[in-house]
Amino acid sequence: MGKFALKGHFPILEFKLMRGPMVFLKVGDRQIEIRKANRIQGKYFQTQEGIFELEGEYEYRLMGQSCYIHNLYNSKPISLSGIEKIQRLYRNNKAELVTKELDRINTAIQSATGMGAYVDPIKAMKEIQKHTPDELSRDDQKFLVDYKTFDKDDLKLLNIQKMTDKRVHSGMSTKVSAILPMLILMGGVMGTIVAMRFFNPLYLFGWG
Amino acid sequence: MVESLGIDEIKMLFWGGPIAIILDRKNVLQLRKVEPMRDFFVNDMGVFMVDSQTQYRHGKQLLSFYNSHDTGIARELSKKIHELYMKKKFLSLKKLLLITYPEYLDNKEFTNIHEILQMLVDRQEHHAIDIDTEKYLPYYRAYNPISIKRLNEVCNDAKKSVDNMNPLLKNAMPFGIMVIGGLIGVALIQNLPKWIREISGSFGG
Repeated sequence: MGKFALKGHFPILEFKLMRGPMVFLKVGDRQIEIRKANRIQGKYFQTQEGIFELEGEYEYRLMGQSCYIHNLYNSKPISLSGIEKIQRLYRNNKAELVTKELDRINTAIQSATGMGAYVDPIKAMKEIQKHTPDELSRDDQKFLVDYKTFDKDDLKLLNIQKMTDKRVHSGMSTKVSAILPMLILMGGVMGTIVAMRFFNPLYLFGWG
Repeated sequence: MVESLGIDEIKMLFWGGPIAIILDRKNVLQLRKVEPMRDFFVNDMGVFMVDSQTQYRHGKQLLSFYNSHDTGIARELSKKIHELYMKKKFLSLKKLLLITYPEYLDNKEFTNIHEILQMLVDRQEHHAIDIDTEKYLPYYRAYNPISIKRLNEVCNDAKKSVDNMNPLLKNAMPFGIMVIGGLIGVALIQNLPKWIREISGSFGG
């Protein structure tokens, strides 16, 4: 049976008509919020909860609109196929593969950098790609690396800019709700009211 | 450029039931209604499994993520499968599924229709995707530790400013309905005597 909703449902029209990427942000307790991402410095968007990164590699297209999937607890976008692979490994009792791979990524990044030194991405990637488990594809491995790392230098610049910014709330990405379907209905009602001004509806019942 | 709305999307403008976001091919997602057949649902991308643990909520609407793995069937066929299931014509449905998916369903003996659907889901890997990454990947925050204090202050200020700027639309919605009702009421009160006069005039003339 169909379920009719006037508000609180998926904002299809807003999703389609709004400019810029949309974000499915998983907030606590299995709640999803749909937000319009206002790009800051070309690659970030900021919400009341924190700063998130937009990475073209994990961009999806839904109804012709670009969109990303984020979890509140990580700044990086989620790759659906990547997370599906990890989930499948967990389901098949091969979770240790993911943990080992994450450990290897950590070690590679640390050994490539040393303490506080500049990260040499080539050395780190060379180290990471030495042994890839058969169950993980290069794309899955890349997703894990991307998920573990974050461009702190760029974020530092953004933070400095925010500290000196007078309008701190500018560029905040806010929630998108379904309003347009309601407005369409309201438009219909207003049209009816205008029509009633010029036409006597009692004639319809044969009273006139 | 804005693409025009498809029939599926128009049908979903006022749909408050569960929805599925399905990875169709490469990075293209499709939005589909979920009309459950116990733990399963079917659409033009195949048979999928509903998992209550991976259903997220957008407001009150349930939302799940899936990967279609490039499987697909004709829309009419998916409608037929759903129809047969709802009418409990399980034998016909079994025959139809065996014809539609010979590569996934071997000659195994099935005791009920849900076993067939389960096998289809398992073999096509049409389980729901859990985007709750804390379960699988270690927790990693985006914030720069040096700036976290300042950032928190900024975010708090920003929250207050945004709240001030944006009177809650949720509250505006019922108010909007009341205004519409009020306007219609005023229009009726204004016009009703005129209409009655017109009618009585037409009776008299």
